[in-house]
Amino acid sequence: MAALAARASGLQASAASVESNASRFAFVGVTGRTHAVHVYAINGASWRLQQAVASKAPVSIALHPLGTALYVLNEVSEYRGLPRGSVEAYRVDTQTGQLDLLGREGLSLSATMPRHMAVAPDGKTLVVAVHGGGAYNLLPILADGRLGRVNGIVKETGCGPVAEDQDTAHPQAVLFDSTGKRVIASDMGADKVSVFSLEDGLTVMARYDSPAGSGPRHVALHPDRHLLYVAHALDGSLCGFAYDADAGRITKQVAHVHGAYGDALAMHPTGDYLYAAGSGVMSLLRIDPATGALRRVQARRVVTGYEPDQIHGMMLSRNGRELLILTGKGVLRMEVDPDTGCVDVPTLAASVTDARCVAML
Amino acid sequence: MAIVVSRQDPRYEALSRGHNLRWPAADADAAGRIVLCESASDAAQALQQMVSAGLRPTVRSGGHCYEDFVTNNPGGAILDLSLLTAVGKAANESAYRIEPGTQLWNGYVELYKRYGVTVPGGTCGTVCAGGHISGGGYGLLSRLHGLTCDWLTAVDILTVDARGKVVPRTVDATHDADLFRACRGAGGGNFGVITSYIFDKLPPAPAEVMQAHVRFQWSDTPVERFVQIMKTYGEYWETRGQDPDTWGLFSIITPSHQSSPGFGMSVQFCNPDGTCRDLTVLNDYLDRFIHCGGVTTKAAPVGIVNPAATTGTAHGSEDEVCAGSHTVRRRTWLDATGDQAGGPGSGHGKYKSAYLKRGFTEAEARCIYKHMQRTIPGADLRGSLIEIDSYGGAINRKEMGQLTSAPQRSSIIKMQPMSLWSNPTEEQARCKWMHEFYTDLFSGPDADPQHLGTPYPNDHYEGCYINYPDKDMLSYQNWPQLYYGVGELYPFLQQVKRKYDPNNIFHHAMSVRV
Repeated sequence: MAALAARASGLQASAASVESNASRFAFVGVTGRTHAVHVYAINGASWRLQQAVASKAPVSIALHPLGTALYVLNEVSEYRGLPRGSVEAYRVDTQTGQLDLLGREGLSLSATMPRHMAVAPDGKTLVVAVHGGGAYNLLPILADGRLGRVNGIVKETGCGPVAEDQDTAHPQAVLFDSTGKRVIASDMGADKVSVFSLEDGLTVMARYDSPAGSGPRHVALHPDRHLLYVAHALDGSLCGFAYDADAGRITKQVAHVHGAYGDALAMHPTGDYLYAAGSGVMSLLRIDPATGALRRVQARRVVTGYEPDQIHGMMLSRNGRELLILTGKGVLRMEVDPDTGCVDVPTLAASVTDARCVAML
Repeated sequence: MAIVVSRQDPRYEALSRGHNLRWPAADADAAGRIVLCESASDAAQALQQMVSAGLRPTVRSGGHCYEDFVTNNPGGAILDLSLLTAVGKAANESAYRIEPGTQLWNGYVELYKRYGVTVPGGTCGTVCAGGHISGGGYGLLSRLHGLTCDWLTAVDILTVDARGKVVPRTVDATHDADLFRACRGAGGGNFGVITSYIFDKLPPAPAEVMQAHVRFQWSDTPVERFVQIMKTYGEYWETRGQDPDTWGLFSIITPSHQSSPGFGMSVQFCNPDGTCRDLTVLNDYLDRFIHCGGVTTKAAPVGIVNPAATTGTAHGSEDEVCAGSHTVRRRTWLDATGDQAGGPGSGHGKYKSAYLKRGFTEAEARCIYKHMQRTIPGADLRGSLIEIDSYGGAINRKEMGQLTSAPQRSSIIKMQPMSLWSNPTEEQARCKWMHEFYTDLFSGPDADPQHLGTPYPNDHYEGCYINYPDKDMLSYQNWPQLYYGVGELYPFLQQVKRKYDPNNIFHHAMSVRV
C-alpha cells in the first residue's frame, strides 16, 4: 500500500531503478509455517525465490523511495522484554535484490501488534498504525536508511458498536498524501478516518466519523489527489470522499457502494479504476471522472474466502499492467487490460502460506 | 488551576525527574510537559486534555518510584499530584481522607496531632500517599496494624472510558468493587488517577516506642558468625515473632557490602497497646543476639538510606534506659517517626525485593555473606546493602489477601537489596553485582527449580513487592506471578484493566498487561 501511495503522489526524487517500468524484484512478507521476508526475482510472469530472511510476523512492508532500503513491520506484542511491536530496516542491493539487515527498532511502550506502515515520499519518516495498542508511531529514517527511535506518538481512544472488533481504538492503515506532510489514517475500532500533520511530531489535523459499526480499514488516494477511498472491514462498504490536500481535510462523501470490499484496496495509477476485495472476491470498480462515484464492472472469485484461503492484500504494479493479490496460499498475479481495467485469470506467482504484504522494486 | 511546566520553563529540569536520578536516561525519554494539579478537578481536566490530545499521561505524587515508570515518558505528560496534600477529616465526614500528594511524614503529624491515629505506612518521610498506598504500603507498625491498603475503605479515582472520556469515580466495597480491590495494592499507574484515599477508621498511634540498635563489625564476623546472626534473626520472626504480643516489635537488619566496616540492626518496640510498660519481649529479642557479637548502640547504623549520612540522630534529649543488658532508648512515637522525616534525598539507586516465608537457611546466609564480601576490581560497591525487614503479624490476616491486591500474606521477612550511588558511571557495575547476587541467592535448594533466579512462590518464598519494582524481572516470563502470586489475582487485575482502562491509557514497563 505504501509503495502505491508513493507512486500516486508523483514522487520526483526516485532513483532510476524505481522509475523503470518493469519490476525486477518482489519482497513478500510471509506469516505461515515460517515467518520470513521472501525475495523473488521477477522475469515477466515468472517469480523465482532467491532469498528468504527470517522475520517475525511481517505484516506490512515498504520500500524507501530510492529503493535502497526495505522496512518490515513486526506484528508482535513484545520486543526486548517490553510490550511493543517493532520495525526492521534492511539494506537493498538494487542490482541483485539482496537484503541485509540494518537494524530493528522497538515501537513506543504499549504499541503492541502494529498493523500497517507507510514511508514518506521524501524518505525521511515512517509512520505506523498500531492496531493492538491503539496508537500511531512516527520514526525518523536516517541517512543510511536505518531507523531512529520513535519521535512521535499519538495514543488513540474510541470504540464502536461491534463488540469483538470495536472495544477500543484499532488503527488499521496509514497513507501519506501528496504533500508528504500529512498522513491519512483509518481506525476500525473507533470508526474514524483521521488526518495527521507531521509538522511537529505527529499531530491531529482533522477527524472524520465513519458510520457506527462500519470499521474503516483500507485507504487509497486518487492520483489527482482530491479523492480518497475508504474500504470498511465490518460492513464491507466502500466510500469515496472529496479530500482537500491543502487543508488536510475530508470534505464531502461522493461515493458509497455496499458489498464485500473490506479486505483489500488498490488504486490504478491512471485513477480510472479501483480494485477492492472481500470474501474471496476481487472487484473492479470504475471511478467516474467527474464525480468520483463508483460502479462495479467486474467481479472475480480468486479464493474460497474460507480460512486460510483468504485475501490479505492487493497491489498494482507501477505501470498498472498487473495486479497482485496476497492470499493464504501465496501471491496471485493477474494481467490488467489497460483499456478496461479488467483482469485476466490469476496465476500463482509465488506459492507460500499466508502472503501478507508485498513491495516491488 | 493546573500549572503547565513545559520544556522552556526553568522548573522543567527539576520536575522532569523524580528522586531516582537515573531517569530519564536520555533527553529523548523525557516527558514533553509536567502538569501540576492543585485539585481533583484540575486533575480531571488535565487528564482529559492529555487523552484528547493523544498524549500518554504518567502520574506522580512523591516521585519516589524506583523505576522509570513515571519519568520515561517520551513526548508525553506527567500528571503531578504533589500539590494535593490535604489530610484529615472533611467538615461533615467521619472518615479520614488522604490526598495522594501527602508526604508520609506530614500525614503522620496531621493524623497524630488532630486525631491520635496513624496509618501503618513506610518510614521514608517524603514518600507520598499516591504510590505508597496503591502499591500496598507498609512500615514499622505493619506487624501490629497490617498494610496501609488493608485500612482503605474507598478511593476517588479518575478513569478513562472506551470513548476516551474521563470518568470520576468513588469506588468501594459496593461500588465498582473490583476496581476498589485493584486500588488496594496492585500498584500505581495501572487503572487511573487516584485523587483521594478514604479510611473509615485508622489505628491509634503508639504513645511511645523503644529504639535499639545493634552494630556488627565485619572484622568480627566470619561467615559462621554471620550465619548465626541471620539464623537468629530469621528463626525469631518465623516462631516467637508470630505471637500477637510481639506484633509491636519491628526489626530491620541491613547487611551491607564489606566496603562499609560494619552493618547494623534497628529495632522499634512497643506493647500492642502502644505503651512501653513491659519490655520483656524487647529484651528477649535482643538477648538472642548476645552471642552474635553485636554491640547495642544509641545510634542508628550508617547506610540504611543514605551512605553519605553520618550516624545518629540529634533530636531532643537522649533518654537512655538500661533494660537488662541492652542499651535502648525510649522516645515518643512521633519523635521516633520523625527521624526519617526528610527522606533519603535524591540519588541513583537500584532496588530489588523478595518475600520470605521461612527464616534464613544456612545456604542463604552463606550466599549473602559471599556477595557482601565479594570485591570486583574497579567497582565501588559502597552503599550496597540488603534491607531486611521483619514481617508477618497482622499483615498475615489471610482474608486480606482476598480483599486486597497484596497477596503475600504468609511471609515473615521482606528483603530489599539495594545499591545507592551518585556517580552515573557506576551504574553498570552496581546493577551487575546486584543481579548476580540476587540470581545466586534464589538459585539455591529452596528455590523453585522451574523458576531459578527468582523468589517464585513456593513453600519458602512468596515473590516480590510491586512497590519495589525491578525491571530485571521482565526477563522472566512469569514476572506477574512474582508480584501478584500464582492464583486468581493477576487474571482478575487483567479483567479490571480491560474493564476500566480499555484503551490502556495508563501503562508503564511493568503495568498489568491487557
